[in-house]
Amino acid sequence: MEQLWSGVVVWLALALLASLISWRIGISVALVELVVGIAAGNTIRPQLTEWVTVLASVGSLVLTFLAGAELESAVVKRFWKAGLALGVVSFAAPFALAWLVAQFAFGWPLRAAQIAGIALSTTSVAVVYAVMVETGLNETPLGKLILAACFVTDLGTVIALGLLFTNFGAAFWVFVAALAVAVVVLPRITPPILRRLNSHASEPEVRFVLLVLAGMALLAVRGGSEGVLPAYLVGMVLADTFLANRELIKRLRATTFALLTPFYFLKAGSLVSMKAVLGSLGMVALFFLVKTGAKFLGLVPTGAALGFSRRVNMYTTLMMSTGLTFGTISALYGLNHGIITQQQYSVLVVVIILTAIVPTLIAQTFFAPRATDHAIDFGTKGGK
Amino acid sequence: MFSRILLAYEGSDGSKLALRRTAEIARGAGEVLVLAVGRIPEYAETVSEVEEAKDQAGRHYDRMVEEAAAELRAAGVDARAHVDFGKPGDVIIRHAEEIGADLIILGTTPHSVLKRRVLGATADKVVDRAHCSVLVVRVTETHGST
Repeated sequence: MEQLWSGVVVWLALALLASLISWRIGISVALVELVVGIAAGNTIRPQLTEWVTVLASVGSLVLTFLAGAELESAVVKRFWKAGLALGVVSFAAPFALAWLVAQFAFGWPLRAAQIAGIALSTTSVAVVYAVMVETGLNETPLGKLILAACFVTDLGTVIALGLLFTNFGAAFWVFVAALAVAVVVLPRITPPILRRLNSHASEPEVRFVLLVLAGMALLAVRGGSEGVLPAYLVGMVLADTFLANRELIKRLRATTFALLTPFYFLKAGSLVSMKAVLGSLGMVALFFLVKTGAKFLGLVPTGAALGFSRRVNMYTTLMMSTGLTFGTISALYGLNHGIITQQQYSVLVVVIILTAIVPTLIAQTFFAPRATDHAIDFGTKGGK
Repeated sequence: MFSRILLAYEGSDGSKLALRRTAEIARGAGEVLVLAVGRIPEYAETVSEVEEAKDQAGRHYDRMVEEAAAELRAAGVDARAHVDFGKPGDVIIRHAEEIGADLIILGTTPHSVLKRRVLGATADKVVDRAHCSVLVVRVTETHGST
């Protein structure tokens, strides 16, 4: 028991430290937890026990669910054409290029190279949203289009992660059938369930969501897929329900941020070997260039075809080059399943951290759209 | 002399001194936008995290800037209040450009050299990048303004 509690004390101390640093410097706690995890993993080496893995796994599921539930369906519908074009290109270009570079330039095995492609294909909706709030862009048609496109990119990532390593056996089709039923039934049964449970002190709504996610993750894993796929899709179909119930999102997020995601990000960071990173700095730099370069190659022509001005096009491309949560989830999936080595994992996570920071800084410093850019109505160009 | 002034306000001693200076400068002149900027997390994990930070900052600043604007109006100044979100320096500069301000006024409290190096100072950024004149009202050790 003493060993258990000493482990709990160490992990909670790291979580509190990350929280205090985040509060002090105004940077998201997720990024700070990753960095604190890297520092701890390379110095005090906190023990990665079964309970840490459980909390981290549930944390990544709920985080993915929240990501899926963050955009109301009206925005997706209004900008679906332009959003789909930008989102698909934003996923496919870095996925293909990073995969090819990993396999043919660095000699990674096929499956490891695919993990590199998936991990570097992502766009962080939340990072993008925070930057757009600062520029006032989040309320404009352009801002909503960018969010819809980010959403499509993330969908591409979770679908790739959910399907690429599957064997398509009978259990997989059971999972697909259950998922199809869930996406049809959940939007119908969830609102009355939430109304009936009505904020009881025991938080039955939060437990309901956790049970649905855990059940779908079980079926996904049994079917050889990955729990983030159903979590994201369930989040998507319940987005309108949850966005109409901000208090529930707040409670779910409070539970998740206090007890689950710290373990996910600290664990993800603690598995990074700085020795491996320092020995592969060239690979880190090249992967970073591959991700951002591929986003540019794919998104700049697409943006130009949609009628973006040069400034807006550069801003959109840089914003969609960011990545954080799904990148680390994909890399950790690869490590946990023995698809990538710790050295490969370390390189990918450091690249992901860089892609959360560098494109954002460049976009804010040099390409923040002007007030006149905000007025562009993409509803007439892209979607209805 | 100045027709459109932006007062950056966050309720500190420096801000309160800046509010008094604004009343003196703007009385009988142009209009004043009292702006408070709430911080939101950079590189956020979820959209709801950003939304919640906005809500909290909004609750913290809404009344504060309204009271500051009311104080200016009581002094005969045409003033309105606004709360926005992001990095204070960037948001102040953006609003100043958007309203065509010809003066930005802000208060500042002396920071240690280390803090200024590490975190930067809003006043430094605004002075560096503003398109118009900037008045920095500084709280001194004797608690007066310079």
